[in-house]
Amino acid sequence: MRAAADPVLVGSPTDGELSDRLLAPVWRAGGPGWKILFLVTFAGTLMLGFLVSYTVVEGIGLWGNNIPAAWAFAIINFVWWIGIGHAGTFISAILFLFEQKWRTSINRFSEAMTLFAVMQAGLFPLLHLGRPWFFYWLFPYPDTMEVWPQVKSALPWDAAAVSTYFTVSLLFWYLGLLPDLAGVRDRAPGKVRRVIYGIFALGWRGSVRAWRHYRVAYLILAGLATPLVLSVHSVVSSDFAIGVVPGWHSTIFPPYFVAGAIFSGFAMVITLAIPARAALGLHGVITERHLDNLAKMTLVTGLAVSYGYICEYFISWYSGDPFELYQYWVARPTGPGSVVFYLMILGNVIVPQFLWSKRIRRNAKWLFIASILINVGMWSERFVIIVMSLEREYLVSKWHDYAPTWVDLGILTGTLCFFLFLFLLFLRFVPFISASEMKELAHELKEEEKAANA
Amino acid sequence: MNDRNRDTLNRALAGDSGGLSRREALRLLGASAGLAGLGACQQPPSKKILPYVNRPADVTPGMPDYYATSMVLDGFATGLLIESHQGRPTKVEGNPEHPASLGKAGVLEQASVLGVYDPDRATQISHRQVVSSWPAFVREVARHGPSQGLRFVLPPQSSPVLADLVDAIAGHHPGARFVYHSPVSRKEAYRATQAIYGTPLEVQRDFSRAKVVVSFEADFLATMPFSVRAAHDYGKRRHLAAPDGDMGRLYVVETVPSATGSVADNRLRSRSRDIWRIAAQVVSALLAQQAQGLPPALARQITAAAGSVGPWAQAVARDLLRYPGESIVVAGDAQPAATHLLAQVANHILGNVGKSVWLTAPAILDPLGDHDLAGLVSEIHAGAVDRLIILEGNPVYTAPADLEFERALARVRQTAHVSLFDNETSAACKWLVPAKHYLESWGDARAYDGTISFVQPLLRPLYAARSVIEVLGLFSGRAVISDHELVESYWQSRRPIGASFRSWWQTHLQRGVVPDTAAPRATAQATWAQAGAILASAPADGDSLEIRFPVSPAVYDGRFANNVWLQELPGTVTRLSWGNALLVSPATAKAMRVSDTDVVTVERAGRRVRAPILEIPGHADGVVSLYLGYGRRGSERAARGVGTNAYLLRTTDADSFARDVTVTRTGEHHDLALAQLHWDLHDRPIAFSTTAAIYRANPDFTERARGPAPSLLPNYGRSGNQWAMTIDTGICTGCSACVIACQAENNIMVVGRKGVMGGREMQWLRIDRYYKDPSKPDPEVIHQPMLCQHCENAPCEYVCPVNATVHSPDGLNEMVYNRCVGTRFCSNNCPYKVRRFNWFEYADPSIRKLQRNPDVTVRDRGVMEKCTYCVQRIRRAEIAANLGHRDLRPGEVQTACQQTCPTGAIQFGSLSHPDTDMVRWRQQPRQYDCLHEVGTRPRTQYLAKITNPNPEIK
Amino acid sequence: MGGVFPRWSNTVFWIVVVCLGLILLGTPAFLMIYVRTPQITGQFKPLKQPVEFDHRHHVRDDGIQCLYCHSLAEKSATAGIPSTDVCMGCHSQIWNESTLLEPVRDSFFSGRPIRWNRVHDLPDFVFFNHSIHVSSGIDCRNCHGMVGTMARVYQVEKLTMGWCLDCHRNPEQFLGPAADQPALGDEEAQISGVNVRGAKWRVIPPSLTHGEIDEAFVPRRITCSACHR
Repeated sequence: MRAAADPVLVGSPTDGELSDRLLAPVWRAGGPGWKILFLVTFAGTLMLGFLVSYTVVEGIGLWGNNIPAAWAFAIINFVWWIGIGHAGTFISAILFLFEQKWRTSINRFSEAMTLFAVMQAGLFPLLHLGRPWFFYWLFPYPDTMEVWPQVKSALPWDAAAVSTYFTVSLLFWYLGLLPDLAGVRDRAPGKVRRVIYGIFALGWRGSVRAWRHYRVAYLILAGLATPLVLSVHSVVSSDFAIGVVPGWHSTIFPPYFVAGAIFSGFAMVITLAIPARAALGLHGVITERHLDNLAKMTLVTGLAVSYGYICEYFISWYSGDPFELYQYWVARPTGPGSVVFYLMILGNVIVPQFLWSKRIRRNAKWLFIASILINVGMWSERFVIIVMSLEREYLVSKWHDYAPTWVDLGILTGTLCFFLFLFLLFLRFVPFISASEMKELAHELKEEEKAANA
Repeated sequence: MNDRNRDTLNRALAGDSGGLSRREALRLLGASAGLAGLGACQQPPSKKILPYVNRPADVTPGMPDYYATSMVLDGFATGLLIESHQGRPTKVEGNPEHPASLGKAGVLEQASVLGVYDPDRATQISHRQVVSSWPAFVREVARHGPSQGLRFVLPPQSSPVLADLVDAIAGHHPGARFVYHSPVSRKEAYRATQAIYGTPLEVQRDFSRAKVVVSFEADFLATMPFSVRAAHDYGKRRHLAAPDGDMGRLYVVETVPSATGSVADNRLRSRSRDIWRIAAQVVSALLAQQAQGLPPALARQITAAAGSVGPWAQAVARDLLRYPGESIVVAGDAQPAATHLLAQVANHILGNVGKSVWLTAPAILDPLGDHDLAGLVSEIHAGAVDRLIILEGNPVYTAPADLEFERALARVRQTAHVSLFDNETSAACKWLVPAKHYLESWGDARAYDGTISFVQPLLRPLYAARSVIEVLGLFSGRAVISDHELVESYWQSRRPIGASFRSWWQTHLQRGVVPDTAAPRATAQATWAQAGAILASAPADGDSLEIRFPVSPAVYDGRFANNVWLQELPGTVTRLSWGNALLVSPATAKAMRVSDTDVVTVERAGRRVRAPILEIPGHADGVVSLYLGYGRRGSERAARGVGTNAYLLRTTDADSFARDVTVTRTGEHHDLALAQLHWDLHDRPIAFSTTAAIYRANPDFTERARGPAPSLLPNYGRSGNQWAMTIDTGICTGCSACVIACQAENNIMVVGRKGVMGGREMQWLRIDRYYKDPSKPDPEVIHQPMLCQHCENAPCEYVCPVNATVHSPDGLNEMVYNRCVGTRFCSNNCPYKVRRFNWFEYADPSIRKLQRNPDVTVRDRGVMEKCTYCVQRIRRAEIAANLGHRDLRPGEVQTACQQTCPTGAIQFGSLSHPDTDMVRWRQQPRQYDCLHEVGTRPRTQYLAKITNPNPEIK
Repeated sequence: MGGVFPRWSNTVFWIVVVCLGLILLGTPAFLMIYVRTPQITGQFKPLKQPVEFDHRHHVRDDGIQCLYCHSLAEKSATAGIPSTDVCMGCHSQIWNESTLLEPVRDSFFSGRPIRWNRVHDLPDFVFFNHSIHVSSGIDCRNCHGMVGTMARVYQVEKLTMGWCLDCHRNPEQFLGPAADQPALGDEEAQISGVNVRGAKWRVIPPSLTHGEIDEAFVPRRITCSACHR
């Protein structure tokens, strides 16, 4: 009985207590810390808005991109953000289907994280176009030119995958939110709040009939979301895998991109969960057990990523392809910006190994640091794959180094701020942990206890 | 950042609109309109159409016309055909009938068309910076009667009309003097011939029949007069049709790696001041074998001067003696008279004179330069000059520094400058009369070989401009008349007997050249009168650091410095654009403890300049060199402040190279706009080269890079015309004429210095330069013109999400700009990196846009572009053939690069025409595909470079 | 909670949901239809011209062929608006007093071109060539409609890329018929008087199959670079 020794829920609170504890933050005014963070991230979001319009007006020449490195920060950020999203879906969908109890207290905000991450990611495929105002040519529709998108290219699929992913994540998150919105509506002080939350609650009454439909719908969406976890990043990975570029042209990419995605996603969940639970005093519902499990998932996926690296290097050696040999054994470890390469090794290969130790897995501080390093490592991985491969391509005469401009860096920071900004709003105005599911969990646990005692 | 870009662009493309331009704003609106599907095709019919009132009989709107004219550079004419769209010259081609061109054109000719539309041209006659008028200038000239103190400074001239005017002026102004000044002086060559034959003569050479060529720093394939013709002959002679073919042999002794040096079979690096001695060694080695025809005294003198003859000279001499009468020994214009003398001695000993080499009267006036700037300046200081008329040229900038010409100018009462630009000299003169560009002028000139050709205008002068002969006309005491009348009346008086002038005039204007007017072979006998003296005047050696001032292959002596195409053109061997650098050999750099981009101070005789270092493998040791033509400070915006002014170190006694130079580091750095940063092949199957011997023994040495690559995809269908290109890297000199031709034909924009440094250059065709073994002090150079390979399995095509780049049934890899959304996936996936992206709105809003080719889309911001095999020419030819109810003839379609390539290294055509060079070449065993193993099946294929080094030379 | 929302809010809710759905689906559908309307394609908009030139009169009454004035259509990419001297060729003799022709005479004597308004305008990135179409047997009317029946000329066809492709994919449906038959229905030819038969185009026997026509007459008819360069 691990559950007893090591609970996913501390004590046995009544429904009322739970509702109070979990819904309270919604009408408790944000503390000074929240306010400061809010202002900072809001400023960052404004900067993002400015830089985006600047880029659209002047052209992406404002970025550091060049020939050969025609893709850089925009695509890196895109892949990184969309990857982060994956953990959310993984937790809320796959763990749901596997009926993992510990998911309950973290699924709500990891779904939110997914949503916000995908919003950041979705920005880039649009922005990185030379002529963003023609983005819609990537979608198949009967136009007056009688020209259609090219299905051999990965990019139209990309566009489709990302938009699907966003839609499904949104619905999934919102559906899960319904009962709690209703809960907030009913407990909220003041008519205004009641009306607002009431509108979003879509008139949820919690009748048995409603619950039955709700369950079915939730299950279906979970079923829909599950394949997306695998498909979306596989499609993204083929943006590179279908290319002839040494360092891109590889069949390992889809699985290893998915692993990387979930890896980075879990790291981000940890990065968000630890401060959040500290700030909102939710140690009771987000327990060491959760951290432990998250850390374990991170470790597993991290190992999968490392395995991907090993494969790449082995194949490059085994194939004897001079271009790949140079790319993997010379350009990356010793070429321009090899620092990033070592950051990647540190974050994605070395750091996860520490998670073998239970003490670190359950130590919030260390885990937090590790998660940050992993996030950095995963960003570096995308840099290595995209930029470094292009910097040292086939034709020696066109080897050229890449350096980001302040606009590149500004946009990256901007998306980070925008992401946190949305997350702060979420913490403030939406039940951060699914109260309804927690209550359900509490009951289940009581049942289990009874069973155990009897 | 943006400002940085804008600055660059502003400097590069004079007058780019800064900030949020109207265009940008509209585009943003367009974004929403685009959503409504308007982006692609439709716009309300609002534009006006203005038809002709009377349509000229020879103008068909929508169809280009071609007119013959000639471009004159330092007196020597190159015949050209100019493509004109409704009176708007857009493109320069060679004139097949002109001996200096034979249908080919060099870099400067190709780029000249942009010059006429230069936004920085002088537009108004001004007096003391105040706008004045032509009548005022005429009055000014008329005000003073005949005077003693009248002086003219103008570039070397060969124009009969001008010569006639010169006589007239001499008659009207007794004591008037003409100074023919060019910083690229050929005086030494004439001094040598005068010493031999008693009168200055021009040495003519026929490279098409030379088995062995020895060049003493003569860049006869790129920068010397008549080089386009020389390159044409050389290419014909040099192309190796079969492994056992005869390709002759080229020896080059030089200081700074040049186009010619880069294709040499045996290259010897030497300081400029030692080259004459190497020549002497070769000659004395020859004399050892056979000495008749040469005064014994001279022979002894040469042998004495030569000292001990090294093995190199020995081997060269033996090689030369194998082919008496079939070799050419040539010395460069920068070399002292002694070298020219020795070269001519060698030609005499080898019996080349009268065969592969002959002599004619010089085409230009006053070849020896009896009056030179030095003389003029002393006259000025003596107060003997009251009126100084400077016709074209830019002496304040180009004159030897020790003359302090600008200061001298200030002392002349009346000075006038007839100039295309308001440049350094104009600023120092009282009058500025805008000069006509040659595409606006009437005139005539002789080619290097003496052939007469005409200069006829393609358009009315854009500004209040006057041509040199018009201004000279004012001083001739005759009535004031236009250059048209001057030229026509002159030739009317000299028309061949019997012929009706009109028809004679019309036909030859149309052909652009008067056939059979080449100078007859001079019969002068070699008397060797002052040969000894010349030889004695040869420079001494000694081991002080030397500096060499080569003329820039791009901006020449600086007169083309405001031509943005030329500024952005990477140097043949330096690959440096937008500026010059102090070139040194890696060894010397190590000795001086400097490396690339280090800014150093170069000091000579109290004069100093600052320049960044650029290491060039193959550069002679113990020498630094600095291209002329940069560091301008005139009003030309693109040229201003770009690079270092080498003239500041040049003095009368040392105008092509100087000794006793000191180089000291400043500790600062200056980024160089290098178009290529890596040149080690890393054993990759990119470019191949080998020696003739190895090729003969093993013809299939390119085997691993040819033939059909294994592929899962079906073979590409081959019905009808299938376009393809074959490039012989063996005869590519890297002269880059093709690059400019492509730029002119395809509306390719320039991106400026920052753009090049950022890896964003736009040229569709670039010439990659690889060093076979970079570690060697003098590595072999391979020039590889790299353009879209039009792969049959094109990696760019299947990754484009919107079908913007697709394959045509006739084997073209098409790029549809207006469909491109700019994902740049195609460029990432292009192994050859030949795709170019419009990172900004590069389209030049200035008057330069008048040069654009109306048959080619001007690309918008955010779209990809690349070489199209000049598809507009293909389609035009197809339509013409279709109208004529016939099939395309072999060779009917020429790409711009192929058309202009002086050595004919680029061949283009349809695979369905088996008996064309293009097809024949690609069946040679040395054919290879670049990056063959990637499996792209490129339609552009290469022939490996074959060199024929002398086995006796280790 | 009943206190918060009145009963009718349920109805409102459903209405909102339906509207949102309609907007989501309707907007793209509307746009796709809209871009095909004359509003956008610029069809059927007679343009006022500086000279009241009436094609009906010149073509139908006088039976002047298109190529008499638009003579470049056979030779050049552009069909060409006739230069003023072409007009004056006749109108120096007839109607040389007419006030309607004042602008023409003015242009002729002043040397200032007449500023006609463009009726058929293709985007700059489209390189349409009249000569190849005319000589391949495309009747002027295929693209310009019955100009001979228009007082003020207007654009009849959509001139969208799709419209071009319709013909380029199946040229045999539009190519000129055998020489012994009139280009279009007889009385139409009568009405318009336009018959480019004057043009020395290549006559394409209707017997030819799609492929044969492609090979022999209209090569690369759907290659991008045929129009975009």
